[in-house]
Amino acid sequence: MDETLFRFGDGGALFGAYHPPLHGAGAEAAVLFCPPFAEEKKCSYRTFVRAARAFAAAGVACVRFDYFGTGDSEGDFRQFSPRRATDDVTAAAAKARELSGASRTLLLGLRLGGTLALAAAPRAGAHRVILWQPVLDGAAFFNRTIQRQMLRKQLIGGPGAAPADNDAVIDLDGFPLSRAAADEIRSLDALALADAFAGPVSLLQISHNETPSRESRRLIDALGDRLTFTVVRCEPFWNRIDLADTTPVIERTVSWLKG
Amino acid sequence: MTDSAAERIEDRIKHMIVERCFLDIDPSTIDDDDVLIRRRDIDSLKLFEIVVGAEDEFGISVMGEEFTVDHFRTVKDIADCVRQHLSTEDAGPTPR
Repeated sequence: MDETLFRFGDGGALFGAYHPPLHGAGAEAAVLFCPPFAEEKKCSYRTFVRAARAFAAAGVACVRFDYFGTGDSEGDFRQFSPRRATDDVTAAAAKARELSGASRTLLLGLRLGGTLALAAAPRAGAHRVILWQPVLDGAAFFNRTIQRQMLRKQLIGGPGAAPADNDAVIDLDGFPLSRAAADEIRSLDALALADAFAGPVSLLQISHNETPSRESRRLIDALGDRLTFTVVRCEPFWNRIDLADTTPVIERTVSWLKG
Repeated sequence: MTDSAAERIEDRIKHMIVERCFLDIDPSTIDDDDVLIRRRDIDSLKLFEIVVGAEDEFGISVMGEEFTVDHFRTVKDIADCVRQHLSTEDAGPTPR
């Protein structure tokens, strides 16, 4: 695989991987992957790599990267914040254009990464945003994250209590999230963010059946003709420790990129 | 709640579990008292998916102190939780 690892951003604090297109003279468009949050990022890492390689094979340049405070980028997870991550998306989009020579940038975000892609899209000069099962309501997402952690702790014999309201740092299954970042996550509203982005949006619902979910219908209703919508039946791979077959997700997205 | 309605809730839960957890089994092979974590290879992530599935399926919200593993160990536990919500919220099951 012809992947190039690089550092960028202020002082080279951010880490990225560039996947050049395997065919053709150059890329017309570059896809920037916006990863999800905490444990969901770990579980989806393999799918992001597979997708980037599939897109490159289809002639589309790709960049994967880590937000500040996560992965191979500098900083501690306590320093992660959605606001900072949105700035990182903007910087990574510029880097994707620089590396690929592409004039158009597509932001592809999974779960909270989709929400951050929508938040960054206007400033990042995105041509289009592709959402893989995005988080629409930050408060609901955060509550679910806490509930999931409570269940897990109870299953291993722990008390499984919710974190105290006055904790300065919230332990999310080993990810120490600052209270300020938690508040930022709770305030995220993908519908409002999508409204502020004038470009086209593609929504891929990844679910156990092929019926549009309540959340998908909200986006469909809000964006109208700006939205392309498809459902693929696939396990929620961002919530799976074992490997899930994400081929339908990748193939559907390739067909969007080629179309 | 009639016996037939009670039966239907358990069956709907079994179908939901098989669908949401991508289990390659006939829903009717799940017994009401099967401990899902032991018998059906359900981990904490899939158990959470089942809770969310029950909320979606029956239009209920499981909140606060209710959110304990004890409420979701078996299909019977989940059905009891659903019935309690449906009776206190005075709302019938939502159609699939």
